[in-house]
Order: sequence, then structure tokens, then C-alpha cells
Amino acid sequence: MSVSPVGNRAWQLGSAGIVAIAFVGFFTGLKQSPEAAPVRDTQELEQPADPTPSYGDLRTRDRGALGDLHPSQVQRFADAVDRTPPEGPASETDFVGAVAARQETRAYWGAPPSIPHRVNDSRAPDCLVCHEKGANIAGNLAPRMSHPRYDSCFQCHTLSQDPRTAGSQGISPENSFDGWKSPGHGSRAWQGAPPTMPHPTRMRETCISCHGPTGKVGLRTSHPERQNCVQCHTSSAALDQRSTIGTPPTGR
Amino acid sequence: MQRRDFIRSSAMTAATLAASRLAAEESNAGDTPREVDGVHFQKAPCRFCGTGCHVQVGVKGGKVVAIQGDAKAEVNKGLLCMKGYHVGLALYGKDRLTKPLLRKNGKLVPISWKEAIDTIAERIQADPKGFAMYGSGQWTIPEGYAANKLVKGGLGSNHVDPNARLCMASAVTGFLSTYGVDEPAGCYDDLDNCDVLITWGNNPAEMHPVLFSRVMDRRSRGERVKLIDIGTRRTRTTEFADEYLEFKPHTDLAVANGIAQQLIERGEWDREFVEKNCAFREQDEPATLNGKAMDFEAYKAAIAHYTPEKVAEISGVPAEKIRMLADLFASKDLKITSLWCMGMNQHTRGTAINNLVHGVHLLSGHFGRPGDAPTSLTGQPSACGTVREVGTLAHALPGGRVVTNADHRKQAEDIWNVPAGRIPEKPGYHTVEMWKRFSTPKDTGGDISTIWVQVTNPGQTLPNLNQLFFPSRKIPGKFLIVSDVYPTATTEHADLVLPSALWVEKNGVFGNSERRTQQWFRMVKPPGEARDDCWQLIAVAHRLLELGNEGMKDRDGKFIFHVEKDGKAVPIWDFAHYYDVNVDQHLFEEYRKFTRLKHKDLAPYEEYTKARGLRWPVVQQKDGSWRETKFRFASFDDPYADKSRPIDFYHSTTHDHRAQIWFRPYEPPPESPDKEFPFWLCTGRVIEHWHSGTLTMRIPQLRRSMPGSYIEMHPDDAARLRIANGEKVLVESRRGKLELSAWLNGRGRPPRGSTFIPFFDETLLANLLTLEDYDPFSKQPDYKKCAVRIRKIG
Repeated sequence: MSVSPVGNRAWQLGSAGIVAIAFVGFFTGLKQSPEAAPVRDTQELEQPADPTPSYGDLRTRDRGALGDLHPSQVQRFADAVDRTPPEGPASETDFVGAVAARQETRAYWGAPPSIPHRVNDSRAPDCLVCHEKGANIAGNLAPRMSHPRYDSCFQCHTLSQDPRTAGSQGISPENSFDGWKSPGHGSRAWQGAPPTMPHPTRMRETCISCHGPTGKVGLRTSHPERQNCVQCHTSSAALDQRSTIGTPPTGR
Repeated sequence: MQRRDFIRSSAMTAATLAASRLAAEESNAGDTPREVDGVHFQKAPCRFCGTGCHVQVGVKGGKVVAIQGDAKAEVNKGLLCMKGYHVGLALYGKDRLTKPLLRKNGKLVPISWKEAIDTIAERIQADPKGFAMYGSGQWTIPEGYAANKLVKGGLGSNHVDPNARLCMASAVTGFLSTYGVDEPAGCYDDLDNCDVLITWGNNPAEMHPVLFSRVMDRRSRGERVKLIDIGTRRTRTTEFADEYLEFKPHTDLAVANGIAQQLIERGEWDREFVEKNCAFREQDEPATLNGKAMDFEAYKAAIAHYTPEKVAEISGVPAEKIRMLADLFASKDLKITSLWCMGMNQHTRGTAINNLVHGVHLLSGHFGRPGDAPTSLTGQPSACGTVREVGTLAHALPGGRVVTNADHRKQAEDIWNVPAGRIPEKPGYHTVEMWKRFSTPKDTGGDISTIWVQVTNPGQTLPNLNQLFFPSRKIPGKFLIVSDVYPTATTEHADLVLPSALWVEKNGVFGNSERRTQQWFRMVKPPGEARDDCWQLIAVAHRLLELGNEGMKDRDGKFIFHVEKDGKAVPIWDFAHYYDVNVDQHLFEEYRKFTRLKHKDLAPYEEYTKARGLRWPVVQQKDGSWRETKFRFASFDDPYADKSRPIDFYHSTTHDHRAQIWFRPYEPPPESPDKEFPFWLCTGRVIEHWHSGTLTMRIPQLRRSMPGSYIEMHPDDAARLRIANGEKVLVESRRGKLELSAWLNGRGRPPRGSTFIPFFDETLLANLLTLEDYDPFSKQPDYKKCAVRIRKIG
């Protein structure tokens, strides 16, 4: 085993060089590290950590329906959604059932649904944890939002329970309003033609909210692999406020 | 375009994109109805708050069956809030009033409309000067105009005042004493352009949700908007804020002064803007609304007192946060919009704090560019349109006129064609004074004997009810007439109740917070014998004419509400003929003549039937079209501004194109917590309920979401008093007491020593506790602070 002195020398020099570079790198790194370290939000620093709650606190503290979930748990909820496509078109019974179930949480067809579960009323809504992509919480499906992201969820969605006391139902005043009902299916030009959309697309831009895996059984599409729904399904100009008819009123 | 950006940024499926592109991009102008599945859709502004969203009302079989956000409306761009989506249900509560009711032997019994109208006319005829009209920012413009004309032009009395006195009167005096003319210079477009939004004692996340999301949704599109919440309790708005500055109640004046002090001390005020466009002002003796001039050196010396440390001491806001605010105002490249509503207006120093917030914007030059605006919001759908513009206040006349000005009176008498001298020079009684005199016996100065209330609920919303409302109900000879749509805390105590038509059961015009005038048509019939408020006024006027009241005739001997069709008088006082013509259009066209003086020009009625509202001044162009104005006083947009200068304050109080920067010192409130009453009490609203809850408490979806009132307090205070969540407490002020349950860590979170009660619940009257002390200029009471004590019951 003979090693050429030159080669050995070169190796030594090379090693020294590497060590030197590493040293420079190390100290440069040290020098830069205070700048590179993430700067903590000043507000965060000012706020003391939450103390361990006393039993008295626990009685008065409302942690909402989901409490403060660990992110991995949130992911588990999202993963629990069964994304297997239905084997074929939904049965009429399932469809009618799904339309009726939707009606229960809405004042009329097109009204924003009320929230069927408890929420933490004291914080910015963390609805998006489940509703941004959809989730399955112990068998309860949290549908994916049907509309673009708006952050102020409580602007439109009412609570269906008194937020002040756990779980109690509020009073429902007598009201004879008889709201618009869903017409059900869209129309087909002939048997086998793609149905038209029977509802507005406004605030329902995300078709898979209802027609995908977080939608109700009976509404889910039989062909989720097709991404461009409006390729075949036409929307209604009248429902979407794109057309008018008739003559202007006069107020008399 | 914004919608497209939005969509791109929110990573959705192709399906989504294609569908929404269809919905968003194609739109056709036009105002004709749509019909889908037998449902007939027409436009109307929402019935609730001052935001002025447009809705599409769906009618089928003579009933409202659906509501959609109006995609063509600039205000809300197709979105609504939970109240707006459910506004149609407001018409269908089971207990709608359907017959006139007169109190006989202590009980309200049904009577005919004829008897009701006769009763009112006879009471007025017997004592015209003892009659007062108490109206509302929910009056439509034609309703308020008719009431104003009936009382001021007909009866020759100025006793007309609206509930808006309790709502935005301080904003009015703030605008008048700063710019010489009322209403915001900016508009909602500022919300699309600002870099910083400052909410001053304001919770738009709940009270003006559509405006709030209009700003906050910009963040979802990747834009940066800094939200600074300056408040006295944490709210849903605070949850979205970058900075929350909590001040001790009433000390907002110190905070605003602190910003001005820093700008001056650092030399970072906008010299050029101020030298060209502003002057300085301070209080005179005795105090008048317009005060007296002060020079810059005097202003500088006065404001010097409000160092950040001094402000921190007064307000509790840390000195570095005051410096932070000053840094923002010192940055010319940022655009800053301030929003406020009841927090600054329901304030015994309301005019002063309004002046100061305008002052901070003027001093820093954050004014007149899109996104740079001090903007007050209103709580009622037509507080601006009907109250501020039509002038249904005790001192005002239509179009920004005042009764104390002889020229203004003459102009009004000429337009109304009534004899010279008809309108008295002396202002009538403002709200608190009106109700005080109604609750005082005649022989001890209570010269108001009859009040006719329309479209509001003073038995719930007046402050200090035990002083201002209830005593009148026991004094013989006091007669209370109430026009409303449901039984309320006021009709319960009324002598005569008139059933009214509501919202799309009648024609109407509203004016929203951004100077936008909005019109709608009747779409469904009112229930039973309910009739239009405006008809009620005209019917009473006509009955007075029949009784020989000369005030009901104009100079030519014609009825003051004379309307002709094809050269023939139409008997609009007979409800069977009320809709033979469009009475709204006739009244509106007459009112339009008033609007030029203060450059609040309105377009013809027809134009509003086509548009989703137009912002005044609306000025006719050479091609005959009508153009609205977004940015007032800014010469790039306002047709009345002098084009040789970027900003022109053409209604300056000093007639030199200058706005006034006021020096207004902090002064302590009339009542503060003490040993006996150790807590602050603030009252206000929640998102579900609007005003006194008359409509929203009858909508199942809203009532279920918020069934009743409560008191919010800090958990530490509650623990000290051994009060757990949901437990009953007794709240007492020097004026009254109230039992309700505590809500800890609830929706709003007051700091230690502070509490909050919403006022929507007619079974738990927050105003048994409140204070009737008011601002000396605006006469607007302070509902936001008084002292209470709290005890656990049981």
C-alpha cells in the first residue's frame, strides 16, 4: 500500500481547506444566525401563557364543540372522509332525502344554512379547520365550503342553538314565512342528456362541496374524475342574476 | 375583476373556476324583474342597517319566498349578512298588527281607520302646539318628508324629531363644525383601497358585517390590510385585528389628541395640506357649535399637553401604541380609513371626539385620496337619507337647512308654497326634551300633550326609561299614538296603535351611510288593514283640512299634499286611491328641489328605479346622463370642487375653503364608577338582532341564534362576586334595575370593571339603567357608559 507523497499532501491540503471552509461557514453561520432566527411576534411575547385552568375555570370556559385540537387530529378528520366514488347514479330515495335534509337547516332554498353544532362564540371562527376541505368526525360529515373563502363565517351563518348555555334550544317564534323550495332535479333535453344545474352557482361555486365525498349521499356525483362540471352542466342565467324579463314596474 | 383574483388565489378545482366565471362576469344593466320557477325577483335595499345592501326579493303567490344578495349592487356585491338573508321573514311573524287599536277602559280594542284618523286629527286640532312627531331613521325619504311638511309647513311647529337623534346626531355636528356641511366625504370604495383600517369604538364584524368582510376578504385575496381596533371591550372585530388598543371609557379624546401631539412634536404633520386647506378652532364662551379661531402656535401649545405618557395615564393605552398610531398617520404612502358609529356618537363629548378624528386625518393629510377617509357609519337604513338630508330634526329643514336661518325658512316656505312666516324660527324639542315634557304634567312645564311615533320603539330605546317614558303613561291628558308593524314595548303603553305596512309592502326610498339614495317598489300587500305610514300622515293632514285647519292649505288654497293625474286631483287620503299614482315619486320630486343648496343634488326618481342607488351629488352630464359622486371635496371626482386645487372644502364654516382642525380637551364623563356603583356599563347590539329586535326576534333563524339578553363581565369580577356562567344577577344603576344572566367568556369580553348588555330584548330593558345625559351640541345621549353595581341573586 503505497501512497504517493504528492497525493497525500494534496489530500492533507484539501482536508485543511475543507476544514477552513467549514470553520468560516460555521462562524458565518453563527454570525448570521441571530438574523435568520424567526422573530417572534411582539404581541405573542406580551401575552402570558395560559395558566393551567382551575376546576372553576373549566366550568365557565367554553372550548367549543371541538375544543383546541392538535393539528394531527385535524388531519385525521380530513383523512377519514371516504373518497370512494359512488358505484352509480344516486337512487331517487337518497336524492329526495338529501334535498329534504338540506331544507331543514335553511329558511328557504338559497338561504345560508344555520350551524347545526356548537361553536366557540368568543373567538374568530375556526370553522375552516374542518370546512375548508371537509372532514369526517366520528361519522359526522363536515361539508367542504361551497363558496370561495370568506373569513367572517358568522356574518351569514346563524347558530341553531343558544350560544350562552350549553346545548339548550332557543325559542322559535311563530312565523308563517313559507320559503322557496328546491325544484329538485335539473332538466334534461332527452333521457341521458346531462342535467342542467337546478340552482344558482353564486355562493355554490365549489361543486364538490355537495356533489363530492363530503356531500350528502344522494347528491354525490357518479363521475368525480371529471373536473370541469360546467363542460356539460349548464347554469341558469335567471338564477344567477344574469338575465331579466318583463317590463319595469311603476310603483302604482 | 376582484372576484377573479379572489378565485385564483383560493386554489379551487377547475369545476369551481368555470362555474363562477359564468356567474361573475356576465351582467346586463337594467332594472326589470327576473322570473325563475314562478318566483318573481325585484331589487330593494335591505330593511335593516345603514350599510344599504341591495337584495333581490323573490315573490310568489303574493308572498315573499326568497332573498338573494344582489349581484349588481356595488355596496354588497352579491353578499349579505344573516339579517339580510332572512329579511323576508320579517314580514311574516304571527302577531302582525292588522287593525287600528284604541285604548278604551285600559284595553286596546279594534276600531276603524276612520275613527283612528279622526281621533288623531281632533287631538292635533285641539292643541296643535302640544303635538309632536317622533320619527325615525327607518322612515323612508317620502315618509319623513311628508311628516316634516305636515308639522313644519302645515302646523307651523318644529316639534319633529327622530330616533336618529339617539344614533348619529354627534356625527352630524362633527361634520358641520369641521367641514360646514354634513355627511362623509368618502364612501365604501375607501374600504377597497385602504392599507390601514382603524375602528374607533366600533364593532363592524357584528354591526356592519358586509362592510367588514368587504375589507377583511381582501386578506383572502393576498392583500395586506392592517386592522387597528381601538375599543373598550374585545369583540368579534378584535379577533381580526392586528392591534387592539383598549382605552378606559370616554378617554378616546385623549387617544386622538395623543396622535395629534406626536405629529406636531415630530414635525410630521402634513404642512402643505394643512396650510392650503385647514384652519384651527377651539371652544368659545358661551359654547357655540362653530367655536372660535385659534392660530397654529396656540394649537401647538394646547396639544402639547397630550404626550404619549400623559395619554397613557388618562386612557390606559400604552405610550408606545400612541406612538405606533402616530407613525401610521405620519406615513404618507399608507392610506388610512377610520370607521366609527355609536361608540363615538353616543358620547356626552360626541361632537368633540368626531372633530378630533376628522382633525387627525386633516392634520396628517390622510384625506381625499381613495382609501384615506374619516367615515362615520349609520345604524339605520335611512338615518342619512330621511333624517340628515330631509332634515326631520327639530332644528332642521330639508336639504341641509336650519329653522334659525331666515333665508332657509323662506326657501322652504316658497317650495312648499305656504304663507311666509309659517315656519317658526325657534327649534322644536329634541328627543330627550320632547319626551321629558311628555312625561311632565302640563302645569309644571310639560307642554307636549300628544306624541305620534312612527317606525320606532321609544318604550325600549329611549335612555333612562323611568324618567323619559313611563311617567307620561300615568299623567292624565297625555296621548301616545304609535304606528308599527308588531306589538312592541311602546305599543303596549300606547293610547292608539296604527298597523303599518312594512318594507316591500309599500314603495320606498332610503339613503345609506355613503350618500347613496336607494329606491324600491311595493311587491306584496300588507296584511289585514295595515297601511303605509305615509298614507297615515296624508290622511290625518286631510282630516285636519276638513276640520278647518288653515295650515293644511297652501297659498293657492290647495291641500298641501295635492296630487294631480291628468289634470284632476287624486284623493290620495282615501287608501282606495293611494296607489292610483306613485305618491313616493310626487313627494320625492318636490323634495328634490331642496337638495341643490348644499350640493346634495338628487337625480329624478326615474333614475333611482334603474340603479342600485346613486351617491349624491348626482349631477346631469352634457349627454343627459346622471353621474354620481364618490369622493366629495376631491376635485378629481366632485363636480362642485374648484378644479384649480386638489381639495376644495366649498362649504367651509369660515367661507375660505378651509376645514377646521379642532382642539378639544379630554374631560371626564358625567358618571363614572365609584364605591357604590363600581362597574362601567356599556350597551349595544349583537349581529343577530337589529335595533330593538321587533323584526329580528320574530325570525326563527335569528332568534334561535341569540334568544335573549345577558350581561357580559370579566371572569375575575364574576369570580369575586361568586357568579358562574349563566347565573342570574341583579344589575342596578342610580336610575333602575334589571335581572338577567351573566355570560362569561362569551362573544364580547369586557376588561375588569366593565360590563356590557345588548338592548335588543324587550323583556330585559337595558335602558332602565342608562343615563339621559347628552352632548351639548348634538343633544345625543350617552348609552355607552354609566355606573352600575352587580349582585348575584339567591
